[in-house]
Amino acid sequence: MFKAIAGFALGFILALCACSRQKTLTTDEIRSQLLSAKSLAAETEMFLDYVRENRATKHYAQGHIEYLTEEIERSREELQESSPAQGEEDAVRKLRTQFDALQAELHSIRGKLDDEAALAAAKEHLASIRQALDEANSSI
Amino acid sequence: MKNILGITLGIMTALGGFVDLGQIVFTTQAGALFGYQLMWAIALGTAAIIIYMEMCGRVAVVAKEPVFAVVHTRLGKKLGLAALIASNLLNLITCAAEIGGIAILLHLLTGWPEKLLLVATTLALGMMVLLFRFQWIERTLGLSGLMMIVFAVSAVTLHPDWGQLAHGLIPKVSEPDTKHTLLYWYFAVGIFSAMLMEYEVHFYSSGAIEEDWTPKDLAENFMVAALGSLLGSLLTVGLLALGVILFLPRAIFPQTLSTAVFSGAFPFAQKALIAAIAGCLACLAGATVETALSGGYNVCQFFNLKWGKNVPPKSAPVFTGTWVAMFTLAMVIALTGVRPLQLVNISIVFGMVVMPFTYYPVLRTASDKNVMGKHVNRKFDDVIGGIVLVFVIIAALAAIPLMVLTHSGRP
Repeated sequence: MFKAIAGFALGFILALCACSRQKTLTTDEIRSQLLSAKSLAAETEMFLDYVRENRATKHYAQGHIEYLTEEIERSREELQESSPAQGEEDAVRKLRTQFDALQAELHSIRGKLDDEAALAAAKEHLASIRQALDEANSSI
Repeated sequence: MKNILGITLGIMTALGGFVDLGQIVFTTQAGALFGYQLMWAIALGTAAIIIYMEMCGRVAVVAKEPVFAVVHTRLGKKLGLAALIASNLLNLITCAAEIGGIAILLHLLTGWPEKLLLVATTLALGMMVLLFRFQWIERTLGLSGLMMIVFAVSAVTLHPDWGQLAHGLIPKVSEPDTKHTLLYWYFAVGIFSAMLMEYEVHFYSSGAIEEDWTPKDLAENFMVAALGSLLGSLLTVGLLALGVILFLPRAIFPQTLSTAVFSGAFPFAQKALIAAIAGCLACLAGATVETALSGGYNVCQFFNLKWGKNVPPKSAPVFTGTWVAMFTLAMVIALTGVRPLQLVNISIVFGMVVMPFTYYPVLRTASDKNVMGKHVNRKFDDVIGGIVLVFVIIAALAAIPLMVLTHSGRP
């Protein structure tokens, strides 16, 4: 029984290691972070359209933007605590810049979810962030 | 009428069991990444859970042995105890994840602070379990979970490609590169595992005894297992389709529960969004109650102690103490701020690892003529049950390596 429990515990630890942060970012991990940032930007764009069409309740819109912001902050922190593999410094720098821009955008629209002009402007900014991320991805 | 209300056990088990937090996000992600390619995993999971649930119900009714009594008898004390500890750890983690998910949904609905909602949710569900009879818990949560149908309606309204959807029933062996192949199999194992979550069958077999089913109810047992699971499966297909239609073309990989929720109401107005949130709330509440009660059922059945929701709490102190402890510990874990989706990922993967240790004893018992008499498995049942066992073992062996290699399914 001890062996069975020890095996299960070892598996748990391995799982936690898999979820834990990496110290050095490989090219694959940078690409994965880029995809994640791009996905968050695209999702926010899609959601802003949903809000503009008045299909989200006020609390839902506020809450969802909070959760998206949390996701962005988590990825941003993960990125800041890691160092890029040799030769990938430029891509990581671009990625950090875009995460910062994404975070700033979400912070700024949090209080303006009923302001049509602000939402339209935010959508444009998000599209340009997505484009910059595409460029960074192709440079890896 | 009794038959119709009896189905609510199957509906609550299936909705709370496999349309829970993990399945809602996991399946939407799978659709966003692989289109309809993982439809086969849903079909396989549905077949497996119907077989497993039906056998568990039949063994519970005929032999009066719910899952962990069978595990004790067939695996022996030592290995059985290891399975019990592992299962209850997973129940605890899942319970914490579901409570965290409920707090998120209530925050989206009301805007109130999440931590306050977390405590209030735990207290409300705890009181519900304490005060309601078993049948009323299942009816309340099972029937309110039907609001999840809004997800299937949304998916149909958005015109899924039915040809592609049917084509997804044929498994694809490999993807363009190793990374995508690993991810594909991680999500396949994850969907299969999320549909076979341990606690749902523990809850179902105990529920059959709580509801005083007799061998006369065995036809109903099959109907309840099949209809409940098919309904859950239909909603799971709806979630996959929403992932394909809404997120795949936009290269979105949904990472939050709130994203999956708004996909369920996407083509409609605010009322549908509220219905989608309410449906998810009922499913997650069902899963929370199932995991907490399963904790109590498992311990008491393994050690042959008095248990049951319909007996006075004081006359089953270990049972009552265990489910209260499950709720309390789960709330404490959720209050630490750990992300519910991280917890549920762990429980889905490790649930698969533990699965053979409960599935195999149930299959053995269902095939034992000395125990089951004329209700023993037919040859056909044994063959199908054996095939499912092979899939369960393969998935159990692959689950942890795939989790490590894909960094928990990160694209």
